Amino acid sequence: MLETTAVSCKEVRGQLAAFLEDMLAEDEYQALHAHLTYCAECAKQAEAVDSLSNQIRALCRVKVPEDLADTIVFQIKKQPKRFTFELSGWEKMILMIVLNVLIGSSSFLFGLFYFKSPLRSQQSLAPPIVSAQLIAQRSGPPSDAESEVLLQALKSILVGLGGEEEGEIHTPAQAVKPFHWHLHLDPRNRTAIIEMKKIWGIKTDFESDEELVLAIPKAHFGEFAERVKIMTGGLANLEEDKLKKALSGETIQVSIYFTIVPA
Amino acid sequence: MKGLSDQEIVLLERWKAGDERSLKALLEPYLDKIFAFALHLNAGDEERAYQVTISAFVEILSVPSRKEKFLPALARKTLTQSRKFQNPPPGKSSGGLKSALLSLDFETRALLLLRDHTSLTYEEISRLLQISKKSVRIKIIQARELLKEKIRGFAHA
Repeated sequence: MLETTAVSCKEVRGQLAAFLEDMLAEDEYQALHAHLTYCAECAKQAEAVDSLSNQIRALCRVKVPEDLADTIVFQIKKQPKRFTFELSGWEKMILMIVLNVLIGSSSFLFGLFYFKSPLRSQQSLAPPIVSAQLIAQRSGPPSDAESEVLLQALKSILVGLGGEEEGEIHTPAQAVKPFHWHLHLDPRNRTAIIEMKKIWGIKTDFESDEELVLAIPKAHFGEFAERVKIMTGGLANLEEDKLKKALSGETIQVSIYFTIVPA
Repeated sequence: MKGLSDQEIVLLERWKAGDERSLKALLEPYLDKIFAFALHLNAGDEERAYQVTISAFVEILSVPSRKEKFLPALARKTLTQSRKFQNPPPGKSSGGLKSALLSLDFETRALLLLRDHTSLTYEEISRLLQISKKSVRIKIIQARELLKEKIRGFAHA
């Protein structure tokens, strides 16, 4: 037998509906039942609530128009069938992961083939590269206008790698390293760099502990590549702490420096 | 959250395959409940209740979801459709429960009907009205008290 605890009239009134609808826990039900056996006022209230609910139910027994069901069926049949494809929580999660992987990998492959394509080299990148050749033929630092042309070419490369321009850009007159970029790298972006090295055949050369020089071969960028080297900074750090963070899923920030190296 | 019953799923599949009788069998258990709900939400206006009921069934059954029970889904649509109309001011009352119920404001009436007529659980009403279960419980108690007062008021008028 369950132990019952005394409840006040106020508590009972608050739980009468739940009591009558059999929605209370066993101990609560017993406590309320015990109270109703000796409290006439609450028992009267319980009867009234019960009666009211029944009366509402009785009131709502109405005659439904005879043609209602047929009209609904007719209207639904007129609608185009739009059965949904329903998934459980786990199925949704798996589908999201698969979609993300597919979107990520297809974007990456698109970027790689797009930038590798001779068509791309000749058409979209052609104007900046042609202009960049002019830069490379000059001695000394490029003018602001020439820098801008070169910058656009480099920006295309970065965007192709999944990079995102964020920081300020220093003009050649302001800094030895004329183009200062911030590129957010996550493991996928790092893969992109590795792939870039592999597919484009970019040569790498560590100049110091802090910097890595990437030389882009002529086959992909024409004369531009012979004249210009892209110097990146911060990759040494990426190998250590940042790589660990990147591998654990964090987005890390790496500074990329570009400089024009005379041929 | 439990959705459609096994029997309803079977009917749904049959209807998808083109069996019209299955569609009728699917909706018939809810027809009287939803029509009466619409009728009392719309101040006893049968024509409006008829239209609201059709609209609710068409919306729910055109894109049926296995994960949501039909009754709460239909009640939700009926409520939404009925809210669009302005209820006429109560006319001369003949007294009694019906007059008292129709004299309640829309939301209070809806709450009482959801619980006492459509027999939705507190949890279902809570989800439908987007309020806590505790609030549902309190509001239902208050609505019943108010209804009793109205009945008493009509009796003494």
